[in-house]
Amino acid sequence: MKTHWQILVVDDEEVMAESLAAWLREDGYAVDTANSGREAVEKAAQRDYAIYFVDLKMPGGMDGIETMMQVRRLHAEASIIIITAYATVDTAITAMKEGAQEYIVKPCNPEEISLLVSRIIKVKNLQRENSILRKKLSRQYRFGDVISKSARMQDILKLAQEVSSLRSTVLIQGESGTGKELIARAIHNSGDRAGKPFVAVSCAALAETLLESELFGHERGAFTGANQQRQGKFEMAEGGTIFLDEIGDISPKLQVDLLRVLQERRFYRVGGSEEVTVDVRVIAATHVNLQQAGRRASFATTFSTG
Amino acid sequence: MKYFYVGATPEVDREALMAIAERARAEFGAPVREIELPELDFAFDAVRGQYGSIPVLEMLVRLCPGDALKLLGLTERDLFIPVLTFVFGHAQLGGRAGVVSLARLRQEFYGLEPNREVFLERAEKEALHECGHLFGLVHCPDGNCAMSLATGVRQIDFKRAAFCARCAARIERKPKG
Repeated sequence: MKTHWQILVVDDEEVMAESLAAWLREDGYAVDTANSGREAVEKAAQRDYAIYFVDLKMPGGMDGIETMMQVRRLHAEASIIIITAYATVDTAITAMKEGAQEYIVKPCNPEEISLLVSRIIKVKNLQRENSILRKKLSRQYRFGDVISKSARMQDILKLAQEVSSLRSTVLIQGESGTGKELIARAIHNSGDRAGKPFVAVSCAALAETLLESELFGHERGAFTGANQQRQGKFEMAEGGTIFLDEIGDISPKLQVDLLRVLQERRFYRVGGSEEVTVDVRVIAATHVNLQQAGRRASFATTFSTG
Repeated sequence: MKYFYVGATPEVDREALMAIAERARAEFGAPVREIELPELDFAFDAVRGQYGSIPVLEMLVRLCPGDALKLLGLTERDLFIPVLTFVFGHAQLGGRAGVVSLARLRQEFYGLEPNREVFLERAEKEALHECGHLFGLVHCPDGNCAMSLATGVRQIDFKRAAFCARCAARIERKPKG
């Protein structure tokens, strides 16, 4: 999903920055603008942009090269594209030497920008998947790895296999130590989402407010200590699966928030006003009998039956 | 009652205007009204020899009638935004005003023999594309969909004059008000 990647356009000419931002937004990216190098660095400190378009010539003692160097100190892996109206070999060489990924001369062909951005995003997606796969390598499970002689367990495995290619939310109930996460990983690794992230969250391990921020992320200044915007587990699991372990232990308020995500796959980061849309499959697990908990009203019945 | 307005500057091909107005009526289920737009001389950039689409959009926003669901402007002038060499069109994403330039949709722009059918088909596709943006749609990865990004006429010719099922479902078809 393109909105997952954020872009910052830096140009002292507002019309230049806004027009490029609007064009990139039409392409589905989340785009911010900054009208000086200083503003760009401030924004970079608050948000992790994937791509920066930086105008080479900007007034105020901080040109494009200086801006790029300061952004690099904050985000070593950011892709920075220098834009300029003055095409000289010297400036191009300087920009590339200092770490610019690309160098474009304005006005440029629409196809040039479009191809450039999609190429960078493709590489970033591959890097992200590579890092996820490396992490997963030692913890890869499929149904063949789950060994059981129990007929009941065979039924469960068969059912799990059937749902693995669907996007339906799955609830796994069982006592502690019965292999709920193993089944969840096997479902994930056997379906269409196998190459995408599997993000596990232990709901019992965190206090309500912390869990909310952990799941949905937060905006800068959402609470004391929230110095910069942070993605939550739902966003990290984009395209893949989120495993909510010990779902029976979450508070009624969080149940309501989660219900909305389950129904609409949309949410707000804590302290945020911008709705975030995700494509995530939810697998939840609990040692609690949720139907009994529902009768005791400690767990929303829409959750356990919906 | 809200109307879908299709506006045209004086030089615009009338057949293209009528075809686009008819398509908007059928596609968005709102009654369509046509309005005349003034010349775009105010947006002319002598250095580039083109017309700025941003001042044109600003004008359309100002001219947008109170009962307008959307206003799509048509012009034969070649449009640009400062960072790009040209644009086929420009619209407020999820907003009320958009514009389509017919200049680069003609075969003769590329030194080829005129082809009326090809021109009208391209005009319809680009009008649908900008309307999609007005209804909040972003570019679609399906190269056949009217919402796919086209940076040249070949890509326009490749796509269909229709939204894919996914984009069509996303468009809020019921006129507000």
